[in-house]
Amino acid sequence: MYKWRKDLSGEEKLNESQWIGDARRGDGAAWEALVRGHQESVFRLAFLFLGDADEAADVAQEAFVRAYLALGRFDASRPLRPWLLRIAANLARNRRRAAGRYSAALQRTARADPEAMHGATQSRLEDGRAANAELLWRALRRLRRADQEVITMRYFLELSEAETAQALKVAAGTVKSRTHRALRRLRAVIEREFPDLARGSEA
Amino acid sequence: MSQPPLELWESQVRIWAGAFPYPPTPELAAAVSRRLQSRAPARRRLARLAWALAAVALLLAGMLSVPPVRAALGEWLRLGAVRILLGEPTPDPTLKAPSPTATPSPTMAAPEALLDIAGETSLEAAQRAFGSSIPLPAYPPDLGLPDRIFSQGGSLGRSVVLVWLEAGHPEDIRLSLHLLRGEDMALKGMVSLVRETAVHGARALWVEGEHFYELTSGEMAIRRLVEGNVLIWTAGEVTFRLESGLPLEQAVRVAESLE
Repeated sequence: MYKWRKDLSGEEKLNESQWIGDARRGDGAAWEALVRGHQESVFRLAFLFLGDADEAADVAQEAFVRAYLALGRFDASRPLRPWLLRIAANLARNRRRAAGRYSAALQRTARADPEAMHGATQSRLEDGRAANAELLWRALRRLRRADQEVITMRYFLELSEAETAQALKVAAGTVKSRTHRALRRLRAVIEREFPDLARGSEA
Repeated sequence: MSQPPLELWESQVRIWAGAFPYPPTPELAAAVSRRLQSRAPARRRLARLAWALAAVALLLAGMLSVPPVRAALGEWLRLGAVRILLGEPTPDPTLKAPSPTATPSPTMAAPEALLDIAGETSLEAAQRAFGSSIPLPAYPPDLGLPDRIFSQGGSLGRSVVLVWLEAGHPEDIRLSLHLLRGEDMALKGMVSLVRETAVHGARALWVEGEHFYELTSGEMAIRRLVEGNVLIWTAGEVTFRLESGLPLEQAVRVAESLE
């Protein structure tokens, strides 16, 4: 039974294993605390995969619901974040594949219209670093899915190799070799299709 | 123009990626909590929905390579409560195909994931609603009881969906078994292969490749993109569908292990 308790302070330092234990016993406030602690990573991963803030919010919410329902099978000796990201990545992947949203998002962003992405971005796009980051993201979309995922985890979300391995359900050595190959392919795409960004990297 | 070493390139990617302009992260905790608290009442509400099981069709997009089914394109294949329409390839799987029945077709929502369908319940409640014992596969031996159970139905028919998840990965479905009892159900979508096979010596159908599956009533519809392989067979009044990533021989073995 899922119960919500009002007396858990949101300012408590994240004590993950304790809160996982409490959540498993049906403490909804403990799960809320865990959601707050990880929602940024999960939402950002979904956004990077889907390119749409509303879709990303839906996927992130669904990921936390499913994770709670499966919490009894989670190995609490491992960090929670890679497991949550794996759930969210699979949900986002299924969503974009099933509904064609991914291609629609690609078409939108390919118009090179910053306003098509999301309103909050517009002012920051005037910042050259943010503009370069968005170009990098567009270039990333040109890569095969496995390359996209490892670059997203390692450089956009800044996961360690071990966390990335857990999130992608592969060996740590596989993450290293896959990252190496993906970086080479990304560089080739940028040099071919995003020459302005490539010139920026030489400066 | 010489390329910088990969280590420098990696540093540059890290700097660029670190400046990505994400939209603001929404506050999710309250919404997640509301959804979790409402699950039990929602199940009861959904269980009251009178689902009329209506048209389902299967449009074949790829080529029917081995061995070909007997029906030609545009003809029906029927097995139990399932009707399969062999059609021309549909360029866009998100487009709605013409309805194969005279029933007014409801508005189709975007495809749903299997774990998102309505009517989640317990195995015991599903057995009571289905009106007979629900057989479970004894193969593979480590399968155990289903992790998620869904029951839907009304005056014209009923379906039960049993889902087994990959251990520790609630988003990964190992296999699902669908029990259908009704007069007029069907599948619809795009597949790459269909052929006839047998379960316990009786006729069965084997479908490979992505296709859409529809379960519709007058007002609502479930539309799912099936990505695995599907084995369809019958036993008495019940039509079974087994969705999995298993090859045909393994799927038949699962089907013949029901007890």
